[in-house]
Amino acid sequence: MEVSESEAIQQVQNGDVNAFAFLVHSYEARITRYLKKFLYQTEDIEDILQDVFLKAYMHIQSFDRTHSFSPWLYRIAHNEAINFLKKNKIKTVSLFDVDTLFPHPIAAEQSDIESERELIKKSIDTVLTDIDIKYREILLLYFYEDLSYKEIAQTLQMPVATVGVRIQRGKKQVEDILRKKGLYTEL
Amino acid sequence: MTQTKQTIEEKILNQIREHNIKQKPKWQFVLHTFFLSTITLVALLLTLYLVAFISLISDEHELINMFGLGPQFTLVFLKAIPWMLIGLLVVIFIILQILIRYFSFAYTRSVLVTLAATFLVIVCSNLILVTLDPRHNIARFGERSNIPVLREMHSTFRNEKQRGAIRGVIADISNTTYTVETIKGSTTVTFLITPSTRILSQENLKLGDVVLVVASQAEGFLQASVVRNEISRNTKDAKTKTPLPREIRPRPVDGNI
Repeated sequence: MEVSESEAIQQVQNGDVNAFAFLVHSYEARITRYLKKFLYQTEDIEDILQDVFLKAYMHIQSFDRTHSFSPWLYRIAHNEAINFLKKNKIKTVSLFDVDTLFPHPIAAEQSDIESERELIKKSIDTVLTDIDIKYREILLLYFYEDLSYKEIAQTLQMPVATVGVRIQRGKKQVEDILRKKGLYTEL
Repeated sequence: MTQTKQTIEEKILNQIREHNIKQKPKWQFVLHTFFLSTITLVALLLTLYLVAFISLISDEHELINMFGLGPQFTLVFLKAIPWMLIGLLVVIFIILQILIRYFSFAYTRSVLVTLAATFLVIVCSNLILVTLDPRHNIARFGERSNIPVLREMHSTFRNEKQRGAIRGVIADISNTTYTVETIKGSTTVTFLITPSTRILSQENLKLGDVVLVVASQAEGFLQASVVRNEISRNTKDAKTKTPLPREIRPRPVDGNI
């Protein structure tokens, strides 16, 4: 019998371990892709992935079913990824980043056409290792994981306006890197 | 591909079963939230109390009236500001800010916006407090309570008469001292008058005159550096008299009070 995500979460919260397999199955590919692209230089993705799901299992009682599950899970994945970067002394985004310090005008969520999104995704892929970490993660969440501005804001715990600003700046940085490498085609 | 997926699912489920990994019970999260909410509330109340207390100290030390004394008293004014309390307030304010941002209701706003909002809430609450409580009963809570830290804080900051200024009515005048009955505290303070004391008055100071005295502690006594005549109680009489030179220097001190 097909179960919905919400029903599966409820069953897990009621103590059904097997129901958790459904959630792992639903999100495994997405979280793996996110971690692989975010932490491109590591071979420990599987270990981090397991930690993400084990942590999600342990903390699932704190999840409020009236909210969306994916930002909550991506939040755990983000924290695990940041912990990994810190452990390996790789520079992360500071707690008091200038972007989150000052208010920004609300940047409207853009409805990029599919072909344009594909082109941007390819461009991001080409220069992934050169993109600043604070832009890399947000571009991945928006273009690869298809999270909305609000969901990204919930995942990264930052103002929605900052999400819009960072996506625009990230796109600009991708464009600049492509230009430097002589690979630029109009985004 | 399917094989890999199943392997990871199985691995996770096996780990949960083999290592007997348990879900953290809901009450832990509820307790955690309750604990943080309580700390936030306490920090908020403490911030309000400190703002009220700083307001009381500023009032008792006549900080606002010291503005009118001129730029040469800037240093005295700066010394009179309760910097330690303000520092403590800033620390608690930062803790409060972090706690507020911890809760999801603040994550969608930038740091400066939540900072400004928190500050505004505290200032507005304090203005309401001052309006509803002009006698500073809330700020005097520490004086009445048996909470050790608060009592010490009160005795330390409120007894520092050498800091700031005192406004009161002259109750006694001798060759070397003025005794002033404070208006706000209803206490009596005796000041040593020396040749360096500046007396800013249109006429001779007399009993009953309201004065603002800036003093500092010197060899166990409060030495007045400036005495300014505020409003003479007998204004009608004052108008009829010929104004005297602005500064009247009393005789030098040749003994203790």
